[in-house]
Amino acid sequence: MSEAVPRPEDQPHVSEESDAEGFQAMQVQLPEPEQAPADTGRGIGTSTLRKEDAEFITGQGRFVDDIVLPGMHYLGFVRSPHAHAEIGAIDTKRALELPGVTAVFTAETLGVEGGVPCAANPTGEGKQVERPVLARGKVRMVGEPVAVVVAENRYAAADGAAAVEVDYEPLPAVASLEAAVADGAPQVHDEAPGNLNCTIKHETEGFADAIGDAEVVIEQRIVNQRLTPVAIEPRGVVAQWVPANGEVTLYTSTQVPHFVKTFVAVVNGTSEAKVRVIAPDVGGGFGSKLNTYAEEYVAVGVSKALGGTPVKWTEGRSENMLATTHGRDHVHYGKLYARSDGTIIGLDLHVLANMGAYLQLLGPTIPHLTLFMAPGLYAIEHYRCRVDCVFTNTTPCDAYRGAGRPEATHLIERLVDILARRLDMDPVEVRRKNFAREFPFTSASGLSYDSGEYEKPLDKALELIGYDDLRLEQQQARSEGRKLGIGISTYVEICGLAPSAVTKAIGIGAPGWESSTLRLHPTGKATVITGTSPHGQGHATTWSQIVETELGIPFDDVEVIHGDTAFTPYGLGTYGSRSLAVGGTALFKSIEKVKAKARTIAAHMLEASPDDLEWNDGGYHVKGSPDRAHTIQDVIGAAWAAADLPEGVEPGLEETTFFDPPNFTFPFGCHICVTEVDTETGKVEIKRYLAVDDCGRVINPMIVDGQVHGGVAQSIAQALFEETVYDENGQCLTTTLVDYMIPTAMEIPPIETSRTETLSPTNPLGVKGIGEAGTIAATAAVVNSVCDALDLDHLDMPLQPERVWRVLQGMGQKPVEQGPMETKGGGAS
Amino acid sequence: MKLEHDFHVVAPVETVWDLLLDIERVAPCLPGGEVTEKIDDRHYRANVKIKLGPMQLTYRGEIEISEADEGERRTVMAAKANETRGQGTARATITTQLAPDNGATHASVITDLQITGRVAQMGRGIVEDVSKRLMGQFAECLSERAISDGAGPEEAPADERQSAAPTSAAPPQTAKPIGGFSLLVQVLLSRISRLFNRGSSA
Amino acid sequence: MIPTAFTLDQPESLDEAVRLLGAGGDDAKVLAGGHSLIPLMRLRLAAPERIVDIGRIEGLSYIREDGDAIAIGALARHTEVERSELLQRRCKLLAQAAGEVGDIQVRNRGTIGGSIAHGDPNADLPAVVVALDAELVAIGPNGERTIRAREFFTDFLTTALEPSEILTEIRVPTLDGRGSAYVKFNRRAQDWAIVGCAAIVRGDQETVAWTGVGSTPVLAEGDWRTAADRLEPLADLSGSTEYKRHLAKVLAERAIAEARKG
Repeated sequence: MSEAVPRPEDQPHVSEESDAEGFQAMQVQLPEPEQAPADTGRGIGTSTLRKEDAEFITGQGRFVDDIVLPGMHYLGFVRSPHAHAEIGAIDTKRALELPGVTAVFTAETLGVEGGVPCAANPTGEGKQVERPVLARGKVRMVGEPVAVVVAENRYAAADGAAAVEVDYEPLPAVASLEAAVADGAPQVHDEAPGNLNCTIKHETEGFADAIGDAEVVIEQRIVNQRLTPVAIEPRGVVAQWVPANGEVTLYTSTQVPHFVKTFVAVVNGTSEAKVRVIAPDVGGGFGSKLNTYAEEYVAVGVSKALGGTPVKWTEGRSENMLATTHGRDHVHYGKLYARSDGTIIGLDLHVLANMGAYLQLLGPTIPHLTLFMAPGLYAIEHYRCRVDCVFTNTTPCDAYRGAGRPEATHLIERLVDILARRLDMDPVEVRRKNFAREFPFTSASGLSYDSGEYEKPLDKALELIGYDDLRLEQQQARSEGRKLGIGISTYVEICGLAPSAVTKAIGIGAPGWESSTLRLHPTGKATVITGTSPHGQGHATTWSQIVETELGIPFDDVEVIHGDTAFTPYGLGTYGSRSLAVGGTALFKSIEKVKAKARTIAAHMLEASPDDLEWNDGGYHVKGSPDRAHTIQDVIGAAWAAADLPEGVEPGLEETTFFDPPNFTFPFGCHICVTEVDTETGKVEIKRYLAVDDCGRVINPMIVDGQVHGGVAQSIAQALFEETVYDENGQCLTTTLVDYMIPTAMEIPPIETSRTETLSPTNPLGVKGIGEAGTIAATAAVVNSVCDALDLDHLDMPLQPERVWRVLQGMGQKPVEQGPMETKGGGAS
Repeated sequence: MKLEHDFHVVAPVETVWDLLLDIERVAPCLPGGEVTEKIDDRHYRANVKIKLGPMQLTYRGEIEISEADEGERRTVMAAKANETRGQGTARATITTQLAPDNGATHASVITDLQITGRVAQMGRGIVEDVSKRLMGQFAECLSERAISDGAGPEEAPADERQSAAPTSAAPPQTAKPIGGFSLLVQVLLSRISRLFNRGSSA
Repeated sequence: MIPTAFTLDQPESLDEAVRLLGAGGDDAKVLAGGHSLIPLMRLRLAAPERIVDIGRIEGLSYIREDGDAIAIGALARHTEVERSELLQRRCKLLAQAAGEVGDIQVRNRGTIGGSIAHGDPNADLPAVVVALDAELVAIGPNGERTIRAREFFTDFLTTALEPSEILTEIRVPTLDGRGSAYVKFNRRAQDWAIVGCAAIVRGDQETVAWTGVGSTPVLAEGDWRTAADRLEPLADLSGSTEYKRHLAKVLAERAIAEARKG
């Protein structure tokens, strides 16, 4: 097997240019690949079954709730039932009298001075609001923790929490975006007048003049409704403080163990070097665990206050649906300017983004990503965007699969479809006409899209779905009175977060690099210690595949360690479809470093010059003398034995890389959805769903398909089913899975997938990311399809049967605020 | 949420007025409640238990007559309570307007109700629906008390009232004595009089 | 979430169960399959102090002919009702509807008696027994009595059962010579009905009963089309009053069409 990818000396070179916004658009040259890797059975490119799964599907996973420490007590949180209120007296007497209850803490007695941190300040001028770990003085959302009960078992903890009496003086509350920015709205924070955290703006030069040339203007208000992430495992923590020396061990269901470690040190007041955070097996996150939470800090604080007693807290599902971050909740006002031949000249966008009552880790960055990606994969030259990040008395909104990009794609793909209707053009042709074509492509928002060929997946999708035949079928259906619709969504997305200079430039208080240590054991096995933090993504499998292909150590001989900050070098965690592009590249570079050292040692062992050696099939041989060879395992042994190493070479074989990507990666694709509407009930049935995605080089096709399936399912769920509903008083009406409509397998159609492969020049493997692409593309495909079926400009998600039925009845759309659909009054009428 | 209801009491307005201000006497009209403490003439502590099949909510709190305008025959009551099992809170401002009506009394009640906790999460519809039933029982009982207090010898016969709500399991007279929460419970009710008069709902 | 603490009794006879219920008063509840009561307890909306689990009482899960009716023991599981050859042949409506309740786990555990005694306004079986004009037999401290299904459901989650009575038998008529069908509408497979409709037809005669249109199942009095117009379903997250009324009509049409297919 030959070296497939360039050696360190062949680094792609990077040139930089600055743009109006002050951060750099990177240009990267694609390195020349030497030779495609040979297929060794379970290496790169194979649909190897995942090594993680045996444990999970036999119930042998080890999640936070499986952790039991001697003497462990349980926490139950007392949470506000009010969306906005002043806190009066807190009476703990009844609670403390219950058998098994040992203590109750409030903000005053817990002794944790720090607050829940936010690491995002996109404009540098965002209104910073404080969030104490237990409410102090005021509560600002239903579910805000006000006190914590400590008990010997989880039953007493629940009873104790129910028995704490809190005196509240309710205040007027505001839940919806448009109500929050209206004059006279209740103010969530005194420090944020008008309920505004920040306003982010972008405008290309000459925008106002350029749009004057438009012959068609499409204007549409589009809602991207609030969603609840619903990871299968709700959150939980086990915390232990060691009084003798201030060491902290914290097990937490998280996507970012190192962030948690850093922040716990700051908030709970101890040395970061004494904090160990362990993400055991984590049952999904979808971005809701890309965060640090009050409960983590409280648990550590309680253990400290109790003199070192370990404590555990796990969420119930309905608690999770209020206490863990929500996603989306934008209102978009979009204007598309075009010529009558379908060429898009400009995009003007106003985004209202709901932050909720407090800023969690990345709140304002999410709509910032919407700003970046709203122009989509179109060569739109003129762009203006304003994002208002708004506080309301609701659960904070933060990252949720796609984090800002599903909102962007939904918006632009809807606007393009409306444009096609207005011009009576095929939606495919309008798209084709406007695709960006030269790469790297500088978008109107200043990003440099690494590589792309947008017509490839479009053409493939049209062929696979039989587009022309579908249109004929649609005509036939229409003549029979049936409502059949075809929806297209072409997308590009930004992932592989992130170049650290960029994160700094956009106000994120954390970098975007990733780490990987590759450790070779004397018996020839390998351990990959990764800073990524998988919670279902299959990194153990994928990293093992890379090691097999690139280093020749068999898949089964590779172990992957992650999630424990005591073991792993600092890592930025798993989210933003970054792990392969950044973490996988870090691993790749560690492999390169290992091979560079191995080459030197092998050469020494073979009494040849390093340049005279060739690498293939997991070993080095002298060029022209294949029998003069050593396997990588031989070299590892020699390095360990250290009996005869070349001058200046240290014993052992272990390398670590911290990789800062030069750019984001930009996967893209085309999804097509066919729906039929039941004209009597308004129920939408998806008859076909096809996804053609391009995520660059594919390491494990099965895992990639799985990610697409999962993302599409969640996106179909947003289009047709899910909505987190608050009433006008800030009471959440969807706190159980009875009311919050995550679909079953019966509602999700078989998802047909296909791929094109356009390598990314930003990393040696040529990979992009795929974890979120499905979620980003699908809502537009579904909604475009239903609007096509109904011959309608626009309909907001979720397309519940009643909403569709009203359109069919000619009742017009109900004015859509975030809110339940109710008739006025409740009395007999 | 704002709830409105009107009902008719076959007793003179003065009688109904006096009864309305006598929390300890009118309270028993609401099933499941009890006065636990009198703070002063206008301020009471009370509990009310609301049952719906296997579901049960017990609210404990205070009710206070914040305004009583005899000339206008208008009272305003403020009630606030916590559910004892941690199922949230209930607050209400109840404005009752009485008007004489040919020797009888027309009562109009407007309630500004704020419910939090799991009940609020169940949505407005159920709260209002439950309210109708409770209001039926309350208004019947209030009428009876006012009638027996006051001058009117004629009244709607007990059986007529019973047949007006044939689907309720317990006849009105067995409403257990309660206390200061009757008016809080009004808060939970909506257009009761129409329900009450027209009989069982579909 | 975690329920409040309770005492669990597991009597082996009906008399013992009735006695325990009587002793427990308001704070005692019957547990059959548990799929109605336990979810409420986990949300702490119900907090009975005493649970009387009647699951051990033998002889309450029969399905047999009894004169010109079919008698079904209250503890018969939904799957047993669904798969009963006798019911499929002679009272297809009930067997079909039992197969629509929840999901397979709910059907394996939940009982016909439990579902009916619970009286959920969106449950399937209450509307069916109302359409069938079934009779329900209950036992209590004062002995046994028979209640007509059409008088049994009095309010949201409330039935004519006294607190210490236990439903023991459901008696349904045979539907020989009549067509029947149960149709339900939901957004997600296996959800409660947003609206459901049971229909029985014979010649011109159409008997229609709905679930999800009020706090109790509603039998259409007279012409079902006019009856549907008078419905006042509660508005909630799954639909407005208007939409649910419309669904009631659509489902009645579909159920009757289905019933007529025989």
